[in-house]
Amino acid sequence: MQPIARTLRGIATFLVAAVLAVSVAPAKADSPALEPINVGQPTRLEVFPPSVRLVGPRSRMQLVVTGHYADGSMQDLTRAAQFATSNAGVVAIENTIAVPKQDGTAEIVVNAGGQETKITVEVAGFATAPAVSFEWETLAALSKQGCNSGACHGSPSGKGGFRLSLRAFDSTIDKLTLIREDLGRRTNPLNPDESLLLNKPLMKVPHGGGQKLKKGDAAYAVLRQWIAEGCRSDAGDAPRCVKIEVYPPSGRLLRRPAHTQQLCVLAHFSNGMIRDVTDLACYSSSDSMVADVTAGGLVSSQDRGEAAIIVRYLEHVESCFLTFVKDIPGFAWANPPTANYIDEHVYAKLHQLQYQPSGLCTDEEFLRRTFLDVIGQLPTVKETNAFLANGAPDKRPKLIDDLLARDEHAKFWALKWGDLLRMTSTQIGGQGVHKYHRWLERAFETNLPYDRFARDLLAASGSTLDNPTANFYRTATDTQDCVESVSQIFLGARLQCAKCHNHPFERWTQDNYYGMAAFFNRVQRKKSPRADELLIYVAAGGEVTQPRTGKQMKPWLPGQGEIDPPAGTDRREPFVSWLTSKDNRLFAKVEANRLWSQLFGRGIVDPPDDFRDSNPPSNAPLLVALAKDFADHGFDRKHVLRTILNSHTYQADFRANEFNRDDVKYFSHYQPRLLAAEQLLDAICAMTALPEAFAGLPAGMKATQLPAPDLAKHDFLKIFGQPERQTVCACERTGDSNLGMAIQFFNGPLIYGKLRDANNRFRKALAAGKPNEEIISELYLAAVCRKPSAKELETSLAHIAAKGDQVVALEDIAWAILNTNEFLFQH
Amino acid sequence: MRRAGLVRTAQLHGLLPVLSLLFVAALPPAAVWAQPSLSHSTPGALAPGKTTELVLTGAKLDGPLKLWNSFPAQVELAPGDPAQKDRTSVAAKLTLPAGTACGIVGLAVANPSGASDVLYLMIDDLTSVADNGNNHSLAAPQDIGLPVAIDGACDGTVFDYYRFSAKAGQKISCEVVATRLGWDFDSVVRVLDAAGNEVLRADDDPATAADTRFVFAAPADGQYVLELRDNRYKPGGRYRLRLGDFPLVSTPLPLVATSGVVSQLGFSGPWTEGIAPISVLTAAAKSDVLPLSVKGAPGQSGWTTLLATDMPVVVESNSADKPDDPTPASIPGYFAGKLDPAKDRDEFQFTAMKGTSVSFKSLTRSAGSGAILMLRLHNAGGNQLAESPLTDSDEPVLNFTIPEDGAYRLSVEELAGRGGPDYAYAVEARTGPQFTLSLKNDANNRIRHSLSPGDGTFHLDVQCQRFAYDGPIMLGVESSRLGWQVFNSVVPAKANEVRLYVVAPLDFSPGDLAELRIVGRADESGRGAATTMGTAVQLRAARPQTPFPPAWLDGAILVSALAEQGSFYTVTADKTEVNFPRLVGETKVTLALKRTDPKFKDTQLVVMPLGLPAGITPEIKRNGNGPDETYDITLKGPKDLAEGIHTFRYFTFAEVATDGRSIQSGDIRLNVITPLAVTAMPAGPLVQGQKQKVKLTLSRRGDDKQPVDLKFKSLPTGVTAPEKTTLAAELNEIEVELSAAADAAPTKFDQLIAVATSKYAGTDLTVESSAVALEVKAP
Repeated sequence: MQPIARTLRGIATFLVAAVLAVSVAPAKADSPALEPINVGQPTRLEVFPPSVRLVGPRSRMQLVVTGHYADGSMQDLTRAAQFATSNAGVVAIENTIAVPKQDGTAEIVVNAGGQETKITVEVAGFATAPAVSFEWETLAALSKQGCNSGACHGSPSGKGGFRLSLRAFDSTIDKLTLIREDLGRRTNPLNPDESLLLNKPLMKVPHGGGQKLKKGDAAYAVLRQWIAEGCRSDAGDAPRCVKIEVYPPSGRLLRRPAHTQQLCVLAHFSNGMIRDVTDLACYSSSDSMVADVTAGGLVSSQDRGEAAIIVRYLEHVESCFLTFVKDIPGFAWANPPTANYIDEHVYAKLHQLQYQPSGLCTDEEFLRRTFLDVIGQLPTVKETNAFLANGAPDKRPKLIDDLLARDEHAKFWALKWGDLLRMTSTQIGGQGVHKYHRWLERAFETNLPYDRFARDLLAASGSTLDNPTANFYRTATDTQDCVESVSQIFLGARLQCAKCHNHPFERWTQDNYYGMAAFFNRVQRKKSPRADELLIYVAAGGEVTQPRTGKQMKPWLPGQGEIDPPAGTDRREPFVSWLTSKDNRLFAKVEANRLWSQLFGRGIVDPPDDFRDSNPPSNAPLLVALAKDFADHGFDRKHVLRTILNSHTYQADFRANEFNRDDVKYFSHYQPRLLAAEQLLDAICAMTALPEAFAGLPAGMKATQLPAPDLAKHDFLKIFGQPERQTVCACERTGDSNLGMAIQFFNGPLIYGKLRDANNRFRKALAAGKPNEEIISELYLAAVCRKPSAKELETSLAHIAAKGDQVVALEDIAWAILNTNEFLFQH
Repeated sequence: MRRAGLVRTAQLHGLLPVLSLLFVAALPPAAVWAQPSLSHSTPGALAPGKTTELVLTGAKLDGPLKLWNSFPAQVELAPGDPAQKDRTSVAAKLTLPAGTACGIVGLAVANPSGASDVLYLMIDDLTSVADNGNNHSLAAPQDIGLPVAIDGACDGTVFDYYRFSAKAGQKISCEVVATRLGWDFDSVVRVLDAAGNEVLRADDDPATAADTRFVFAAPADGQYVLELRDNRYKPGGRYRLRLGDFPLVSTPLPLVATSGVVSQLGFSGPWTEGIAPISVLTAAAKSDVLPLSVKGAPGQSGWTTLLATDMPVVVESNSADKPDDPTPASIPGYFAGKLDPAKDRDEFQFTAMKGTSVSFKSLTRSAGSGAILMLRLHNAGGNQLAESPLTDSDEPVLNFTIPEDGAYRLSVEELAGRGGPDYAYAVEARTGPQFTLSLKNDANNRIRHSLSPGDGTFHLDVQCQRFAYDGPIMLGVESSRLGWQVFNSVVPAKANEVRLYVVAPLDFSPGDLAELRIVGRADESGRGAATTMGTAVQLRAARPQTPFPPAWLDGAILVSALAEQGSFYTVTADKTEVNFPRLVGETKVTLALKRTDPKFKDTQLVVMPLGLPAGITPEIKRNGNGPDETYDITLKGPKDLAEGIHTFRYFTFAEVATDGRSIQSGDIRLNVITPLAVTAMPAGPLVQGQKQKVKLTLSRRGDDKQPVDLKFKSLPTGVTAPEKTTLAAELNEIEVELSAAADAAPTKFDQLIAVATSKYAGTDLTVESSAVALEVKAP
């Protein structure tokens, strides 16, 4: 038994780990100290690009050398290779980069590990240097140095009177700022070195943002040259970047000693031109605990694992997903048996990363875990005894089926979706919230297929009371709210950023945002004479205008582009059809991941409503398989839950072994987590056998079954993170530890009242004349689904004897059990 | 809509306003009672063609109670002890005529301390039983036999259970009547089988909203339990649960029937199988809403209402709803139909002349339909010209002025694209000037009043919404109780609001309870078509759970008579006759207010002159506050107003809490007078070098005699007179001497005009005499 203080320290540790896991680390400016490459004996070398064409004196090409080995492995040998040019007058190699010297052709010979290969180089236009491009060089340079980031001059009001569009998403604004505004000080074409645009980031002039530029940076050369050329904007027909290409493509696996990877980023232009922009692209890592990336695009692994390197150039974003593995001394794959495809995918990943999965949890742990996850409740003592006494080999799958069929399952999972759908009486009304909640319960009760579930919500019209799903458009109060809610709930995408500008880290653009809005802007809301009632209907007309461009937007679907729904039809229909299509794997992935997350406390993509390139799944094949299974079974959520619950992965012991101790994201062992506020309250009630009464709600209604938090305000629930349901973000439900939690368990009124109540479990047992051993055993069974160990029983009995007051001593014991991690945590 | 009028058909029974005022006991002297209230009745329904012994439950049902009922019935209120205080129930026997239609009716009681609110109850041919109060668990349900109607109370978090038997395949109609009866009960119903498994669950209904309705088809022989509760677990609600095999009807089809014409009615709703269309002939006045029983084969009734009209009704004929095949229609008239299935659209085509003002008003939810319409008007080319604006109302109105002669189409759709048997509609299409009246929605305007006999008065802020009519609107009272007086009863041209004062009949006796409605007419003769002021907003505010109150209650103002008490003020005028000096154009009457009750302080008196002659307008000024408080009524008019004798009165009103009192004065004589006139008369010719007298005579009227300065406007050459002669206030004649110079030219001067200058009522006054002749001659 451990006191709450230690528990809370545990909670805090989890949270810190979670925060670190989801943060996106920016590229490091300088190269870290790298371990030498063990080149070994590659069977062949591959150089990217296989041929090089350099146009103009400022062109360059990052070369990437890959060694292929006999065992099928590969590694990046770029920084270990030797480069030689056949004509140094035409092309030179500077730090693995080919740079032009004059027009002509040449060969570059690359040697490593005894292998040699050649690529051809053509240099053209060396004598006729084109002007520096404002858009794809100057703005890219400013982005590279972070000048136009949200924290600096890219904030809506700029900084120090200097405002740029966020990450150069609006070149029109930047033109006005850089070319037309405040001429003479910011840029000085006659004497570029006196330009504030250079001297501030160089810190030659005081700069609030500190030093952001060095003379050796590629960006410095671009900016200086652009100023020297007279700060010109691009011609109207100037080529525009249409896409970027990152080499190597995603999926490369590097096994130590291979632990670095040089990236090469090519920009493709509207006129067919391809340029190396590796030095002007921006990089970040999805998991800096696994891999870092330098400003020059060199990735180096810190640990085994997977990381996505996000590459951004202007508004184009691509990612490179890399896996780093290393041999762990003493590790030998135990080849544990699998229960289903989930285990196969999880174990494949663990095997690859050399994590050994923990064994299966005990029956006691399984019982408690599954009850809490499926119905939100602890089993009764009777249910626990029956399960533990059952010797049938199929008792676990049978329990899973039984729990999934129980009413409490629907009620508990309605609580989870109630959070996402913002079910509160404040937002929906005192009548509507009950009806909406009942629809939700019913959906889980009848196992409404998820595509129908989504359709019922998103295509809802009519009275919010007669047709409760119409409340979706009551809580989503306007078009923007609709776009952001729908995308976050059903697409796992947080689009709020794209409302004002292109998403700074993702592919979502402002056009995408307003294209999505065109599906929902005709949804209107009308009051009714009936109190609490709102009528949701679709207006016959109405278009969305992109606020920045003034363009009238057509409905736009991810992956499909703009569509033209027939006039007079509900535009939501094509959206819902696209969303719920079996071909739209994202739809299935998001919900399958959410189900996973609710059972494991962590999503395969985590947070579960934040799908993005910079937040890749920890096991992509697993997520794909789950989504496929989900869609193939008619979006049957119970099927997915049943499959997961029956997996050994779910039933894994929470105790780590020496080969998975540091794993927090690959599901090698069960990660304990604090019970949700409502679960915890219900668990306390179950342990003490004293149900909580919620004013105005029927007797017997549990905290996990409350329709809305504002219908029964309860201090304990608030303190333990019950959400207000103000947003659709799963993050609103928080388990952040706080002093209030500790006080609640030390001496809070709820615990105190339950322990002192004459009708609580142990007082009634005492009144019934039960012996201490039996009472103590019942308390353990009720709280943690197991009997006390011999030591626990001995300690408890000794405490009773020492205390001299049997009732007070039992109060102490019950209090102590309530304060254990074992009780407080799902484990 | 007005409440129901006279109807004669086999199945219709109209509701005439009936006031059954039965004294329980003689009014004891100096009795003091509290205002009564009603909470419910037992049973919750009256049986057609029978005498029902009803127990009315409430509070303060003391004293000489009188009962008001909205329906025709013989009423016998059981006598009670008039001295008993705090009575909580009173018994009554009500006998309804055979053939009375099922529906919702109302009762209220009054004593000399005030009146209760209207209690809704049903006329129902189902047998009533009471909730036994011990049926709160599945294990101990209340056994019932079908058909039946249960009058029950909701216990919040505790549910009610009723057990009944059914055969496999037996269909049982179930209907909760709660919010329609004014109860705050949002029903949720489950039907469970004998093992407690849920067989059916029902909640809101598209047409009856919170009142659950459904048809239960028993899956097997056996016993079933119906679980009933409030959606919100809210305590205190009541319900009438109807169970049987009666039809579940939402509306007739069409919703409207033309008076004096045999109309075919079908029915629409969740269960109308096997109900044959019926023929109806109503003689009801236009806008009367008629209750309608719809009997199923076994004889139990479903119920709905029918609107009577004096206009023709056209029913959609294009069931395929082809846009190029609209239903021919004409305006004025009613367009009726049903939107079924979802996303249905009906079109009606009519012709109209350029400049015609057309008004389309939808009728749906107040008539029992679930539809909220979107009306769109198109020209012959299919171009949309207008659509009904979106407001908080569920029955939108589209007003439009026809731009050119031709054919037009009105398309009717459900706003949210819903459809089905509960989505019938009618659209009233009218031409010409239109206005509607409503009671202003604020705390100053109430629909229940208690007045002191004699001078008891209340006010209503009547608002009008106009379309193509800017003229005045004459307001009046319509009531079976005679003797009401109204003041300030004209909504002026182009205005949209007036405060109307209603004074109780002189013979209003303590405990009387009367219903009245305010009607407005557009022509000054008062004989034009009447529009009744609506009070739906106030009814909804009083019972938010009943968004569409019974039609018979919309517009009804219930007024009860309190025990006589002295007024809290008196007013006296400083004169009973007043002169209006036409050359001044202004006069004043001053009223002295005396406050006789300490509760009446500070509040300003409403003062309103009545019957002023044309051209004279009043201004009211308050002087002071308290014991010396007066009000000046300043009458202003043109200075050339014709002399004459008129009379006028004044009306005053004041209110303490809800006790409004008015005073009407007797006639005040108003004399339009000329306050000052002058004549000049020379005594004879004026001889050169000599003098002659001229007699100046003043005519003074009115009560403000002041000194008058006299002079001549002009004199012949060589003739002089004193520059100015002043006549004292008490004198009316003076002789002024003219002097002729020796060389004054002989002449016959005919413009000798005297000018008199004075003051009247503080105003400068100058008048001239008529011109007279003056001869200047040689000696």
